[in-house]
Amino acid sequence: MSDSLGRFEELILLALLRLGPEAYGLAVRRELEDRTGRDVSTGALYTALKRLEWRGLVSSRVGEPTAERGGRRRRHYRLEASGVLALRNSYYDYAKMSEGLGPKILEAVARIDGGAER
Amino acid sequence: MSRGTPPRLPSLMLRVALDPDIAEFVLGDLDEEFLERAAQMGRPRARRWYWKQAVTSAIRGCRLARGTRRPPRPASREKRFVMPIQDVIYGLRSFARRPGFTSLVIFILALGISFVTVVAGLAHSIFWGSVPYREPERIVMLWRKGPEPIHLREATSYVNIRDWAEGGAGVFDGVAAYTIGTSSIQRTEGAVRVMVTRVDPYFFEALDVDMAVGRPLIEADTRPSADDEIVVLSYGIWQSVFGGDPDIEGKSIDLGGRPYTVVGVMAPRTRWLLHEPLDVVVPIRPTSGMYQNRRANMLIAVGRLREGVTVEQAQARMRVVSLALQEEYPDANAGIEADVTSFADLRGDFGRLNEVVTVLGIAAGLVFLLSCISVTLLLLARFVERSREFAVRMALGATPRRFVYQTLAEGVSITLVAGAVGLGLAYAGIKLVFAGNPLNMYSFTDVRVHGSVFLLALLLALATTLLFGIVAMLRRTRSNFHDTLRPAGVGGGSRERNWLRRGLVIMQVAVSVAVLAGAGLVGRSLYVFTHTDYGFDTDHLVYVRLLLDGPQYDADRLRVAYRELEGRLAALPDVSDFGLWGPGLPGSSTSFRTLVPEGRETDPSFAGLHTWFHFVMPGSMERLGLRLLEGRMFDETDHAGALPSMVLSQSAARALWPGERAVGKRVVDQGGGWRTVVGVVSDARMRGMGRIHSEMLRDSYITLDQSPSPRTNIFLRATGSRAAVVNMVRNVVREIDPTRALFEVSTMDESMAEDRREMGFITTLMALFAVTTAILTTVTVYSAMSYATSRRTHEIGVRVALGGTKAHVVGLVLNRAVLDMALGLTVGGVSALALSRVMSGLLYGVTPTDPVAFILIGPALTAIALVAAFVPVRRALAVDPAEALRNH
Repeated sequence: MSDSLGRFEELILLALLRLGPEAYGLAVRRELEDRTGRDVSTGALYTALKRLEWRGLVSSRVGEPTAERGGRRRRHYRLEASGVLALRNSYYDYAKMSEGLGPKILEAVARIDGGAER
Repeated sequence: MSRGTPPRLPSLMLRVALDPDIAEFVLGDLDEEFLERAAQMGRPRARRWYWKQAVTSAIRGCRLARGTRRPPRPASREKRFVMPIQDVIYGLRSFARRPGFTSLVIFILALGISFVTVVAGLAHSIFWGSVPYREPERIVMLWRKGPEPIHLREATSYVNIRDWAEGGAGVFDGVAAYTIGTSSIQRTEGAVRVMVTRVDPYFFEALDVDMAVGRPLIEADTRPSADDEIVVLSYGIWQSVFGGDPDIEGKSIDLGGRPYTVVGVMAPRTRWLLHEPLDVVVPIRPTSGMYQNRRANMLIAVGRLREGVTVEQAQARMRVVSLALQEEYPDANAGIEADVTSFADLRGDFGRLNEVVTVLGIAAGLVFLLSCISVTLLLLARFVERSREFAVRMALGATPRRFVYQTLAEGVSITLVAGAVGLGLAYAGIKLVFAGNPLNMYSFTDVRVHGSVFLLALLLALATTLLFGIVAMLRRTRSNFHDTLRPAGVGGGSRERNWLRRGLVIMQVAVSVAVLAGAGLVGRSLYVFTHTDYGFDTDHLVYVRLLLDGPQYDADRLRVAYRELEGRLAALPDVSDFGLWGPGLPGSSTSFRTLVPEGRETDPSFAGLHTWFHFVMPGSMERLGLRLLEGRMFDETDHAGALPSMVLSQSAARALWPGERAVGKRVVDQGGGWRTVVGVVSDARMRGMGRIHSEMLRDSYITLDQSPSPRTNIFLRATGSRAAVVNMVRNVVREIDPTRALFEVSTMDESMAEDRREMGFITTLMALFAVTTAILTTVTVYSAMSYATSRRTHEIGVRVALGGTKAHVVGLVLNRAVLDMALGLTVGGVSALALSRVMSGLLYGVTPTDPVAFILIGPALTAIALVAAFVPVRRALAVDPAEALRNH
């Protein structure tokens, strides 16, 4: 298995960073949906979290059962040091690659739109 | 609470489908959010949302979804790379502890690998290395097609081919006539037999021949100037006969006793014309009488289609041309058409070489398979031997995975070493095997080891040993290792592994049968060939080809010349027998005529009997050694003016009049009216080493006086050296016609030696395969038997203790082995029959189902098995009941 992060994994780690140590699945999923505007499957999320945990990038802790969850427990996730480092690498890569490209991307998009109109 | 309950069905589905590690948390999250959503946006929308989540989560989070299985822990990763290295070292060390076993395994595998590599090198050189022509789809062959099916694809006359070329100018870029014969290049160190191809210069263009040295033949080379003979050599001849002499261009060589100037050497890729090797190429001199004779059917043609013209279009055009020619030359061209065949369709046909390579390839492949099986069985047996060691190590904390790694590491390292040894053997083998140019093909100077073939063999060997190794290992690790810690042999292996082992043994025996049968058949062929009764005396026979063509030689002039020649030959000293014989050699004429017996000439269902045709001088047949069986031989009464007479071979007479006397009967001779059979002689057999059909022995003889042919052979039986004999003949011929040169000299021994050499080569290789097979089978049976015996030591001990006799014990050890042998022999017998059918073309005087070859295999293999079983049986007999039972 490669050491690099998948796109989905990156997004999860970013959400965890933003939400802090008490984040659990539901909160992460909402964060993802609210910010990206895309539907996220709960099953996919937990599968990815499980994978990240195996890789030592996140750790988890099981909470107490609650009534609104049908007597089920929550699982809280937190970012581990290696997760932070992985995130940093991903972020640097992205930042370096996209540095100064903002206007260019917009310009390119504008060209496509213009082309489509013509 | 009804508002708060999420829909049941999706929830249930999730509970079933989800990976149990995450199920609780996924369901909890969904419940929690469902509640919130139901409150915010109402139950129906919340339900819809829940359904959607359930479906995607069930897919992405189920037990089988990607990423739900645990990857190796990062902590163990480093160890993973270290362990195999340790295992390799451990494996190598354990091999070093048993050098005998190890070298046996390596040797067996190396043999298998090298056989495959050598034979593949040969096959590559013949089949794949020889597609040297540009746009081969445009190259076509043109043959004469007669009215009868047997006349498909035959040679025709030079003038006919020129007419075809002219008529077909619209569909062909050009057409070149050519003819192939044999001759020899005389060198101070001896003569080298070569194939001589006589061609129209367009030949080089049609086949797109590149030159390595000098120039190709050109139109000007066909001018008639007898002193100025030129030749183009193949790259192979240049290299092998002239050692790649850089100054070969312009040098004079002795080809068939005449000097030829070398003008060029073809590039290495041009080595073949269909299945004939292109050794040396000389120009046709079309002005000589032979080439102007419309009946002299001795050339075929190769042409290049015009761009965009199909073979069918060319064939259609040639049909029109042929019809016009039939009208123009009603005698010579009656019923004759031009057959146009695409070169690409014929390219794969290498005739006998196809069969040689196919059979050798199959045999080498089988031996390779055998070596893989043997090695697997050996490793398996060794693994069982070591299971105690494994058990101890496992008790001390080793994991089964380590044993897998170790077995794999051992398999890989041993195969790699074997590969290296095999590569060396292959190089040496090619040098040794092809050193004497055994297939008489100078085109084969580049038989070599091909990296890809070698790698493939190595990979196959690796795959086989690893596959079987892993299968055995997995079964072993699954079964309880602790059993093995108990005293030797108690309990033992599982039933399945026995089947694996027994299956391998049966397979091995079966394959051995096939290989041994093949070798036996080829060996028998060689024996039959070297002990063949040719029907005539081949001792000290020398042939000299003579051609008396040209306008000055009409029938009468030929008759006179032959009589004169006969008289002079008779006067030669030291010559015991002599004769004149045409157009081919005894027993190997290539021209035939159709005979129809009197009374059946109007029978439309009988197309006539094809007989090989010979013109002889009276006295030649008996001096050659043919025996008279009926009637009389030719004598002086069979002259030109007498009643047309004919002598038939026994086979021809039998085919024409089964069970009747032939003498006195009459036949219609396709070429010359009625003839009366005056005698029947014994068959003369000498047609290569291919299958002997009775059709091949159907010869008909006519006197040269009654049918004067410009092409004859002088044969002599003389005590002197070959050179002296040739010299005598040269002088005699010079006295008769000083302009004639002898263009081909060969001795009977020579032409037979060639066939014998080819057969000997095949036999040697097959014998090598057979010996290897025998050794491998011995090893396999031995290892299987000793394994079976050691596993049953305990049982044997019990039986002996209870009063079992020695015979009992032997039976115990042998019964299963005998059953396996029998099974293997049966399966092998069937596959051997299939193989023998493939090789029927290589056999001489032996049928593919030759009982001698087949019957010998059973006892041979049984003997091998008995030898192999001897030690284990003795070990079983020596079992001490007290010892065997002690630990129980």
